[in-house]
Amino acid sequence: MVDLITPIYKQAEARIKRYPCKSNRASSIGYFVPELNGCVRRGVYERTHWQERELHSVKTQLVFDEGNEQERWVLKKLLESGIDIIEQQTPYEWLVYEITGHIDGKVIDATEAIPIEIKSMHPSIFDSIHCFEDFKKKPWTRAYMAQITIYMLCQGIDRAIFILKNKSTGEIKQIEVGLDYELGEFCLKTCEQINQHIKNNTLPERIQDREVCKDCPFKLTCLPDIQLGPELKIQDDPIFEQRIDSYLKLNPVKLECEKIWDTIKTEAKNQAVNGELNMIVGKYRITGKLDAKKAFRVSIENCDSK
Amino acid sequence: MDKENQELQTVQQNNQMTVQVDSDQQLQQTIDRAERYMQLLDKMRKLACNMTNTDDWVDQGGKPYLQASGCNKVSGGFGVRFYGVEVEKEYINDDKGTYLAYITSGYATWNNKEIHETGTATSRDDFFALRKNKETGEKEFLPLSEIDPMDIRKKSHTNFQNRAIKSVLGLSFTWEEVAKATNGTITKEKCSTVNYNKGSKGGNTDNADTAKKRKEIGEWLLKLCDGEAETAKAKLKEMTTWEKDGQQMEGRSDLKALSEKQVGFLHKKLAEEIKKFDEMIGA
Repeated sequence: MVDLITPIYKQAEARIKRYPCKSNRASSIGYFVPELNGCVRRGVYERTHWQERELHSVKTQLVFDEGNEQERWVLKKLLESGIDIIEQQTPYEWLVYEITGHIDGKVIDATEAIPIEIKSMHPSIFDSIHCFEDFKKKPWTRAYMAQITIYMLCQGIDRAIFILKNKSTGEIKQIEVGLDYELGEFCLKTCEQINQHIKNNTLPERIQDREVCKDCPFKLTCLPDIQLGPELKIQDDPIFEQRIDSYLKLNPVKLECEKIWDTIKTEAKNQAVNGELNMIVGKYRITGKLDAKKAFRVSIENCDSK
Repeated sequence: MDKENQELQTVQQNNQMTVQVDSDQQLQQTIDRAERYMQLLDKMRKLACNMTNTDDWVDQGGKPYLQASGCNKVSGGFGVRFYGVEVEKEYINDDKGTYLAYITSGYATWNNKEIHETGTATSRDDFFALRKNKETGEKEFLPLSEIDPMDIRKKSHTNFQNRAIKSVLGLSFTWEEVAKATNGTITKEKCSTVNYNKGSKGGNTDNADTAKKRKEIGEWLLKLCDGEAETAKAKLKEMTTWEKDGQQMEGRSDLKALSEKQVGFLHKKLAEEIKKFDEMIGA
């Protein structure tokens, strides 16, 4: 039977390429900012060792393609709904910090042109984002924070809008963003550091975060010391081992005991009058009352042992 | 101090490496401690086996061989640390032209044990270096300009990590040990086999020389393919594909299926390849 899938995958694969990088790209800066759990060293590698960047998979390329399609769809829908989008895909350059980027577009609100950034995302991520702070959850959403902050700084505007689209349901929402000056400062400081290292032909220190390093496209160039998970310790400590043995041996008894105690408490509570109990059952005297937190406290004493 | 203790002290001073015990009780404690430590190591090996599944193992000449997929699972569970990793890039010339080699070396450490290991990969690796010439139909090496050096670099790094993991964790087992550790979940019968003991035609038993060569071919293929059985099979098929009257004859992916003549030819070809490989990693 005719193979319809392989040609599509091959076409996607052909689009996976490395490109020279001569500036700090606004969309990537978030990955370099230490305050966003980024790595400055990666920022230097992006520009000096771009030929060694690990290429992403075909599946990831398809995710990117899908994202671009969805962005076009959102722009089309906005236009069809009578909302004017100006300056679509306008490139920007901030020479002092060697930053480049391009905005998805701008909308006119009152008399001001506000940058918009369209992002499509997985349903679970979409559902978890309700405000700008929520973008801190994932590395790539942190990169979105830096990207939109740079656009605002670049254009001297103190607000912007994220338009988020749920890739699965097509649901869309907007998140309004005010300029975070502190984040802006972190981004610009990081760019300055990258530029300085490139000028001096030096590299920043490696970071010590295996979660960041394991996904870095330059890990084979950087070769950081890496530990795959916490070290499994082998310890000879018979007393510790015996203690665990005892705990595991007694635990089922404890659980059974708690179950019976719960039944006793329930029974006692049912017998209470006006939140208080004072009764004799065989050789036991049971008393109880509601405490300040409305929990029923029960105590038992063995009358025979007195 | 009594005479016995005086003698003990003298021995201790003269030989720092000698384990001295001054009473039967101490001796027993030392033995107990050593026994407990051995039991813990046994448990650790059992744990390692249970982190894997049948797809991670291959039978190599009657012995279990843990493939790269299994090494990854085990290293994460044990928290092996890699450090001081360096990569060397080398261009090598031979009669077929220039090819690129990456050699990754570095240290791995776990439980106070430290080892140094090396991994390698070259642009002659079949999986990123060969293509079929449309005119002649023959397999040929891709020019270096058409190979992504980062693929080779990555493979050399993976090769280093896999070798280092096995070495630092001492992951060497018999099939009985694997079966026992996994309560029979992983056994020789359930895993892929690379068999090189018998010829296929008529079920004849190899002579001693052919049996030895067949065995070596299996070991070399796995070594060149980073312990990956499927990759080794594909490489074997590639290397045994030939042409007859302008028609391509499919190669063999099972060592058992090779004739004595094929074994001789392939052994010679692989011996050269393995020699270069060993030179490269400094083995």
